[in-house]
Amino acid sequence: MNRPHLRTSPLPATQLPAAQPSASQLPATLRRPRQRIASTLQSARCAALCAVLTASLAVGPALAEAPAAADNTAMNTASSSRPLTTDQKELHTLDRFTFGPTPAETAEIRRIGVKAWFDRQLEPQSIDDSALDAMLLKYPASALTQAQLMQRFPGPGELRRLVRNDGSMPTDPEEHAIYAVGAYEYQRKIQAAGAAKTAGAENPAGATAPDASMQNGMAQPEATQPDALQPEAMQSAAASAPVAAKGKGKRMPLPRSTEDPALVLPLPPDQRMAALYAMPAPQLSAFLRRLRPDQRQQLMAGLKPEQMETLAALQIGPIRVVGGEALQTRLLRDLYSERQLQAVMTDFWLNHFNVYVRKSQEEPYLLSSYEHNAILPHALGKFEDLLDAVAESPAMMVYLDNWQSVGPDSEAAARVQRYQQVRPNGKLAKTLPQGINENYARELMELHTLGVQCEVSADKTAASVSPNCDGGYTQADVQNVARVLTGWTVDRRNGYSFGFDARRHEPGSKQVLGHTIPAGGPAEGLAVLHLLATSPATAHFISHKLAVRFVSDNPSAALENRMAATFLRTGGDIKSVLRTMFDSPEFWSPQVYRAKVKTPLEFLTSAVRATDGSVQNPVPLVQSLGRLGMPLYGMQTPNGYSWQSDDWVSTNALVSRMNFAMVLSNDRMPGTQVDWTRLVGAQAADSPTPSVKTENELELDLVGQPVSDRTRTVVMEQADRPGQGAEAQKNFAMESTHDAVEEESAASMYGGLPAKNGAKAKARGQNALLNLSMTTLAGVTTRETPVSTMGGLLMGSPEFQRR
Amino acid sequence: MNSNSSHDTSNWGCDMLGRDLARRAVSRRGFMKNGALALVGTSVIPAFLTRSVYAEMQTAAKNQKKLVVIFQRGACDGLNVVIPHGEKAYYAMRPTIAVQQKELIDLNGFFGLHPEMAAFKPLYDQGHLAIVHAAGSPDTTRSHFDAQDYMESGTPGNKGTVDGWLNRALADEKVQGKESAFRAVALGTQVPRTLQGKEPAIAIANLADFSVAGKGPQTSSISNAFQAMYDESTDSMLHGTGEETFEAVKMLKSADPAHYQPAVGVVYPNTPFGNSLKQIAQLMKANLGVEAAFTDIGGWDTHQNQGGATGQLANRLKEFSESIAAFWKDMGQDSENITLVTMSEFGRTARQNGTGGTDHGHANVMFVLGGSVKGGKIYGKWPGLGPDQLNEGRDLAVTTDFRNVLGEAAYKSLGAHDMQRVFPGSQVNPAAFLDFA
Repeated sequence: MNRPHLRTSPLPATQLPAAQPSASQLPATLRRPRQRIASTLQSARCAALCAVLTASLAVGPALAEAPAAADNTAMNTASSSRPLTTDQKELHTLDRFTFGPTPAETAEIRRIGVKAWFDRQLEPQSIDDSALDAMLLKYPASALTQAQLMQRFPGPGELRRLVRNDGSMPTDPEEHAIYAVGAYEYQRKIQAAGAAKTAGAENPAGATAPDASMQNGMAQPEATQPDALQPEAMQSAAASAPVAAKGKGKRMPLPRSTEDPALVLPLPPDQRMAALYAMPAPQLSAFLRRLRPDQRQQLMAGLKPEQMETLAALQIGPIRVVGGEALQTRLLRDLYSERQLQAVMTDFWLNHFNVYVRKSQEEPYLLSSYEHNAILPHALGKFEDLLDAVAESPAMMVYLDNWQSVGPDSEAAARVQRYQQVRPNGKLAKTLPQGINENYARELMELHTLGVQCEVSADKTAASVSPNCDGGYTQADVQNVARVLTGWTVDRRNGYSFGFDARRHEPGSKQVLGHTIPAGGPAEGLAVLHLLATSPATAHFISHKLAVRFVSDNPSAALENRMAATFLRTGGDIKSVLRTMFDSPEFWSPQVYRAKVKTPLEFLTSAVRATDGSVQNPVPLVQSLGRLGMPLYGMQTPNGYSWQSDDWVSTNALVSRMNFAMVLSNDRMPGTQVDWTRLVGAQAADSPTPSVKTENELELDLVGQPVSDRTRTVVMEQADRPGQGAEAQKNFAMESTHDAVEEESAASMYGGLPAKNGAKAKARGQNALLNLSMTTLAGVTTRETPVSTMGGLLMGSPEFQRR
Repeated sequence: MNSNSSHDTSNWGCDMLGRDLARRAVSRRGFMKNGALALVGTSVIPAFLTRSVYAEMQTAAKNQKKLVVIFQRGACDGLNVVIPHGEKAYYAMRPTIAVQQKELIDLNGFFGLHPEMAAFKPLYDQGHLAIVHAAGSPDTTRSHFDAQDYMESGTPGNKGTVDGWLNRALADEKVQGKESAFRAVALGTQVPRTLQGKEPAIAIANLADFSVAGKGPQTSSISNAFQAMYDESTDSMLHGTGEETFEAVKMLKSADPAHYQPAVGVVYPNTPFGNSLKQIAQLMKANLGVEAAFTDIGGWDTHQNQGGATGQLANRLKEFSESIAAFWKDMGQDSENITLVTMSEFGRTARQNGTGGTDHGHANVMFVLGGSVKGGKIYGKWPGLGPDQLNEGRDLAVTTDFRNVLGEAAYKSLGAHDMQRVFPGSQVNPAAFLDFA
């Protein structure tokens, strides 16, 4: 899968724009006709971009009267009140409804026009997405059902049970190995933590004990001090450990010389893996840890994706394979799906209905299903269907605690009270839930539907909230909605699916938002969700948020009202609401053109897409999102990330973005390769001398329109100096000098192995990255050329930060 | 600005005569969005900074006072932080999550510290740490986000406020000479609401990486190239932030705060919060002119299984208190000049909920730590936990407006004296201060 993102759709023949400005009006560098470069793709795109340039140079209808150079290209200042040109409309459409223009998408929208492009994107099923599907075949776990996923990749809870001897080992040799090594590593971790605690007793402030880095009971997947424990020393203890000896299933017969890499590595893939599975857990763990990088490559050679996953699970633990894949596949969809609007809307809703990967040890397991089953199928559908799917999703149920909520007068609560009478200090009496938890009920109204402007409190009377709120919601409503939703829980015995537990449900009818909800079990919850989904307040809240995402930081009330009216008229049809927005003059206003600051995710995806980057290993990009301040599934609080510019412009953000730009452009982002040759042609890409013509092409490739004179001058002055990509790489901490603190971020937690202090750990981290990536990084050459320097500078420029 | 201005008492922080307009115009993010001001050739990049420049900057806050503000995001359960163990109702309402009298660290026979906050006990005993209980916002929203917004803007109930209270406090300070780019700094990827406003404020997530394409003592040519682009960008928002960025980068290169390692015997918890405080200490030790520093710590929204003397909340409190205690010790002599204040958007329900946690409540506890703080004491009026004493029958009532605490801290550290400017529409005034400092 060398170039998995190659668009397969047929492209039109090269066609230069009809209207050419007179040569004398153009900057000198653009006077020559643009040369046909490499491929049909390239030339088609070139034609499109030439047209963009032409148009933007010649603002207004009088083409011959092009204004002085390209000095009027301040991207955000809405300097022009003239209507957008066709080319600007095309760029605007791609800027707002995709994760950034690609050369192919630019050519396509030029071919069919903005309206047809948008219409097609509204029908994602009509768009072939087989290239992405093929890419995702590398992640077979993400296609498993929830139950299969949890069976194949045991979570920390399951491993704990195994260690305590009350779990059972699977018989399948592959799964057996994952369980056995997982349990063994868990034991190692316990022992390491014990050792650290003993050491820490002399130095109480040295709070590196694992509990300090746990949150919500989430264990660190890696031993705190793995290097402190010599594998040899561990072996004797662990060999007699119950897990290693405890397999209930039949073990495969052991080949001779089981642990000699020289014998194992040359075996054909299936036999090689079988040899691993035949090793006892301590030996297998030690075997994998001792391999040299070249041996690791050998170990991975020719493995099937499932085998690669197994190998990764053996090395970094099952939970990180599962969590890591959820993040990686989400990013790959954003980067490469042809159904860009669906991907953008999926991202929008994942943020609107935010969940947090580190909420608990279960949450990473629930993300893939959340994206694929709850959000994506309804991303362009009916809002109420989406709301229902989220309410029933284990991911949300765990994140906002509703799975535990119990009606105070329910059967379940009565049972706990009996326990308490019999054994008041018993574990059950103390730990079993016996009342409501209002966390989800509150955020359901405040963040998912009505919006906080409808909250009624002692300071805000019902009369003072917006008329759309129809009286608003009170604390009593929050509690009553929580009562309604008691019993909505996760059925852990049934593949971690939604389950309604009638015994936990609060009996009786409830008053919600002035309505009486008759007693009706799960139907009560659906009735409340219906009430919320169809409220005018929800229509306005959602419309406003969409307008902020797609139109401007401060959308007009008129636009919001128009979208909300569509929302209500169509029963919350998201597609129709988007169409109303697209057809509104506000969307096409020159004031909003290039007025949005890219979020870190939009910055990163637009950079990779504009450079036609091919991603063989998304892990470093996933980690980069953490460094840029926006880790996937990394927002701890339920409000999700902001769509406002203010929140993404800071000193720290600019430094990170500039470094990222230089790292990416110089091919120093492991696992991702940009293709300057394909963008500007081999001759230009390899030229040791910076050319203004090439620079101008890059402006269009990357920014979509010309940059300011100053930016251009700076880029040209700097182009033939060394690009300092290696230095940027250090600053961007791809080889971090700082310690585990930064690595705590959710992205790195699951995206790759956190690098601990010390070079040894770092090397191991890199190796694990390699393993997880299932590809080799060898053979990727970093090179700094004038083109890569220019590209990096342009992606770090002020102009590139806007969309 | 020149160093002869020591007799000039005009308010350079926000000069009403407009003498600082040029500076403000080019450096303010968020206020320039509409590009109303034409920005031409405004790039005045300070010459390479020398030690003597630092000396000048230090006079900016001539009293050398520094204010550190810590936000516990997610609504910390104050009743399990400073525990009213003299209240029977406390134990009645929290059957499984209460901290028992024999577990806690008693302070005065009625209140006690959570056992995992042992690091605070010596600070309290030495008289550096003051506690304000039942503090909070007069606004009764139970939304995290509205409540945080109100606390950070300092204007409860008013969402229209564009700037943060700490920024306004800095604007009210009488500053002489040139302000340091590090005068207001947030450890994190974004400038928090608390620090947004007219006064420059920067965000840094990690000192060691805060540099463009090169860690050496000189800025790289790539860095200079980017600077040239941003200096002349007509994109006002990016222009302003860009200017702050490159000035900060240069100052950091010159001062190299990373070489200030924690004092002997000081170990910060190896967590994001511990690391933030460690870096604040480094910036302060490097004499970069820090006057106000902000950082935050999340994970307090304990709806479920929060634990008692041990467990989820206990782990958080251990990290929280040990980080702050390490910072205090690390600052050594200079801790005399520091005032540190902690806050959280609201407290949690007095009763535990059905899932071993607590839901959104009202009043909370704030800590004030400082060299000139009259600590070893619990300030504020205790409203009690009786059924008719609870707010809305479920939460600790607010008896001290959080603005009163922040106002006193800002007044006595930064020298911000106009409380109506810092907290418009509030009742905060020096006569009503708790006098903890």
